[in-house]
Amino acid sequence: MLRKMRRRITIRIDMTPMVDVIILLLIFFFMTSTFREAEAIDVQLPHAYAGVRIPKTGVYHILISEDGKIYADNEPMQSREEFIQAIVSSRATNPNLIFDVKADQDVEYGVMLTVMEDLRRAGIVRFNLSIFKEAGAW
Amino acid sequence: MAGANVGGGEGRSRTGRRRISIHIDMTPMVDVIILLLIFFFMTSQFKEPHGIEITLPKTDVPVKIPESNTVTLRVDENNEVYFNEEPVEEISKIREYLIARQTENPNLVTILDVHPSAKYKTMVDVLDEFKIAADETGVTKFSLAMKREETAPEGGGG
Repeated sequence: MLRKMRRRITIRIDMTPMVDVIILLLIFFFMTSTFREAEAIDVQLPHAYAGVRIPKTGVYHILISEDGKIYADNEPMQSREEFIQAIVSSRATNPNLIFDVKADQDVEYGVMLTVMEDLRRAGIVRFNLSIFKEAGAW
Repeated sequence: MAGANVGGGEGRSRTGRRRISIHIDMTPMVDVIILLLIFFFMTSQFKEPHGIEITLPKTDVPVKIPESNTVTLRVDENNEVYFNEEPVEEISKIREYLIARQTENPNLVTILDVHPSAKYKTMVDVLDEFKIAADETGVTKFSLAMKREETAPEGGGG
């Protein structure tokens, strides 16, 4: 008796508002996101409070791994001469290039010294040391 | 379609037709959109890259600085920090020392003497302290001692 009385109820959840929100989120991500660039190695940047923004384009990245290997523009460098050569030639093609040294926080400072010396030998006196910006005021 | 009226009286076709509710199944679309959302969520980078600006002097010529205008921040191979050869227990204390000294003497040059075997992290920590102090006092000159053998300091400023 009861069985017959009851009609099969199809439950329909209106997904439209959810879809609206999801599409808005999608548009938001689409507009605001900048893609993480593929990098040759994963570098653990040192943390610091002070720091200025680095533009996203026109930057030449110099990666220094934990064990002191140097990658210029994602290319592993075999020698200091090759490194200097790479910098000089890239500077020649784009004089406005910004040089950014992304060094692992555990690398020995001696490696940084040679890199800075090489940069100066290549004629680069202004460069950035990439850091992971610590949030909050000091 | 206008052709629906063909073959019948006006009123009949109206009443004879049932209102058809068109239902488009949105589920596949939603699936795709959620996948896209996840993709953007995972690949996008919100944190903008930041860096500490370093400007090296153009020439090799060492700049002579009177002893009284310098403070030395030394980092040894065990990552211990010394402020004018006095051990610093906490790196975050350096800013106070520096601010005090820099307000005393606006021509102060801070020498960062970091041992090549010290960790880069320590050097950045110390440099960060210097930058914080520099923001406070406006004294932005520092020197990176490049080599222990050469006493000529490398100037830098940001």
